[in-house]
Formats: sequence, C-alpha cells, structure tokens
Amino acid sequence: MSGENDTALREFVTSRLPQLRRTAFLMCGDWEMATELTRATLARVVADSRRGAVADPDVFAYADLMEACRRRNRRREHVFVASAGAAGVEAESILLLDALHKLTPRCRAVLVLRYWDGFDTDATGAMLDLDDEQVSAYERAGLAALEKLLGESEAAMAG
Amino acid sequence: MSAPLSQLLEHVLEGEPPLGDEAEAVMRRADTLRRRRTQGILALGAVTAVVIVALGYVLTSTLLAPRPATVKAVPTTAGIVAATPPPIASQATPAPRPTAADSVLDVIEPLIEDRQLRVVAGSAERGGGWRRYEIADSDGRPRGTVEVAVFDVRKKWCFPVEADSDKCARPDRADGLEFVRYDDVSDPDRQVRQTIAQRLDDDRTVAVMAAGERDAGAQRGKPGLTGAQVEQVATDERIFDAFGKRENCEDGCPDFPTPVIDQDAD
Repeated sequence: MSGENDTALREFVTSRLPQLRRTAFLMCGDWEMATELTRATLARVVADSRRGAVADPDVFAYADLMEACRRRNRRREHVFVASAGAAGVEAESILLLDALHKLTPRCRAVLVLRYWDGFDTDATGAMLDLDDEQVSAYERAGLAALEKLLGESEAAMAG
Repeated sequence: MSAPLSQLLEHVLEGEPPLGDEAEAVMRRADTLRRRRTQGILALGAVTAVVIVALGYVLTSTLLAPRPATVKAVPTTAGIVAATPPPIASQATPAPRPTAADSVLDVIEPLIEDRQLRVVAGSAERGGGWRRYEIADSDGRPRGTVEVAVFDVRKKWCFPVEADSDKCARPDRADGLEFVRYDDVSDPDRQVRQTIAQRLDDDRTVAVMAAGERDAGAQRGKPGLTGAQVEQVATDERIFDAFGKRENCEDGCPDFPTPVIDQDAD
C-alpha cells in the first residue's frame, strides 16, 4: 500500500475498522478498550504506510492488534464489561466470552483469528509469528479447553 | 466445533456500540503520530549534532593543546631571525644529560656543534653569576671562548654605548625582553660577538660573549658562535633561568668589551 494516497488509506481504515474492533473485543472483552486498541493500531498502519514501511496492511494491522491486546491484558482471567444496553446479551454469550478469556492468550488469539476472522493457518502464523505446527497445536489445545470450559459452565448452570 | 464456534462468536458481539466517526479519529491520530515521530527525529538529530560538536571541541582542544617547546621567531637588528623559546621551554626541556647538568651549556652546545665545533670537555668554569666555556674545532685546536654572565642591575640602568658612557643605546625588543648587539669585528684576527639582553619583568640582565682565539690567525680568530647565535643565546629564557635569582656577576666576572655596568660609575 505504500505510495497510495490518503484516500486509499481512509478507505482501508473505514473498511477494516468494524472487523478489527470486534476482533479486539473478543481478545480483551471490553468494547471501550477494543475501540482504543483498534484506533491506535490503524493509526500506526496509516502512519507507517505513508512512509512506505508496510508491505501487507492486513497482516500488519492484525499482528499489531494482537500484540497490543497481549500487552494490555497479560492475565488469563478477565472481568468482562457488558456493552452499553447489553440487557439483551444472552447468558450463553457471556459464558462463551468468559471461557474464551480463560484460555491462554496464544490459544485465544489463534481461535479468534481462525474462527472469527477466518484466516488460514499460514496467515494466522504470520500474524502471531508462529509456524504452522504451532498454530495447529494452539488451535487443538484451545478448542479442547474451550469445549471443556463451556461444558463445565453449562453443567454448573443446569445444577 | 469450528462452525458452531463461528456462530457462537457472532452472538457474543450482539450489543456492539456504534462506531461513530471512528475513521476520522484514526486519521487524526495518524497525523499526530507522524508529527511526534518527526519531532522525535528532529530532537534526536539536534542531540546528535550537539554531541558531535561537543566531541569535536574536546578532541580539538586536546589535539591542539600548546606544544611544550615551540620556537618563536623574533626580528633582530640585522634582519636575522633568531629563535627564542617561550618561557615554558625551560620546563619542557628534556632532562639534562648526565654529563651536562649545566643549563647554560644545554643552550650553547647544540649551536656550537651545528658549526662543526665543540665545547672542550672539562673546560667549563663558573663563578657567582658567570660561566665560561672553551671552544675547539674538530681537530682539537682552540677556537676561543663563550662567556655568559648575569647582572643584577637596578633602576636608572640603560644599555651602554661603548663610545660614550653617558649615552644609552636604543634596544631591540623580543618577547618580554630588550637587547642590544655589540659586535667588534675591527680586528680580523680576533673578532668578538656580544649581546646584552634585559628581561623586562624583573630587570635581570644577561651578557653573552663569543670571542675568537687570540693570536691564532684569521680563521681561528672567528668566534665559536655567530652574532645571531650570540643574540639567540642571550634572548633565551633558559639562560635567565639558569642563574639563581640573587646571582650577580662578581669574582672572576668576564671582561666584556662593552661592560654591562660602568665600573667607574660604581
């Protein structure tokens, strides 16, 4: 994208912002924090693209966002903040978010990139600086842990 | 679980707050980021420039520090350039050789040797306020003497005029010194070169005389030092410093053709 004008950069920002913010929310569980992290990430993409330092803006943006989420929230346990007007948020969704955030940061990042953003193993590895085998291993471990956590939560609610 | 997980995640995002004018905020933030980076680069450049200038100053002052033994050229009456070391030279002079702990000899000997002559070993004589050295050529034949004396002159002293004891000679000036050359070349068989110099800050006065060998013919009658070299010795601060502060030419004082102090007046 280097060399393109501000219009192209603005279009990129407009088109990627919603998806990136959702990804950030899944990573950190807080819409306010997700908005702030996304804004900072896209600002860096724009600034670095203007000086021709970005080869692939998508990989750059997701890698930067994942690193920002990792730095911001190193703890595995996290208290989730329900969104404004979240009265309609279902209990299952809260359980899923809670389970997601009990995973290790790496597992969570792999699951979000693979199952929410739909990236393949190669792209996910490029964004998280992992090789394919590591991505697959984190994915398997994450799915197993998530399934177990959700099962325990549902059992607790049923009990 | 992959398909159900994607669908489950979609439900999680229900209740997402509106984006608003977030795209504009991103662009403004990018501009701010660029400004900060530019300012950071400029500040780094300024700091680097300051460091380079400071290093350059330190290196320059270190490398261009005054050398201890520089030689200054001063004009003389005959238009000859005489080398006069600055006052610091005496401190920076290499340690005296074991055979020559005589600071006067240290000044004279190199000049004598430049003329293919030598100071006769063991010939040095000294007394209160004076030194005398015999000079010989490479064959060992005598070539006269070099004599140096210091005088403690007081106020009202002036450079003498040989022909008229009531008049004063007009001296030449070097760094902190005044001096007059008195060369007597009237006798082709024995010439005498003399310079009287006075240090202005303490009135110390030095007379240096190089005389050719008496009754040995015109060749050996030439002094061991030229007139310019005699002047160079007399205006060398090391000569002044070679004598004690209270020394005054007394017993055995050389008989200068042009006396520094008029004995009749005393």
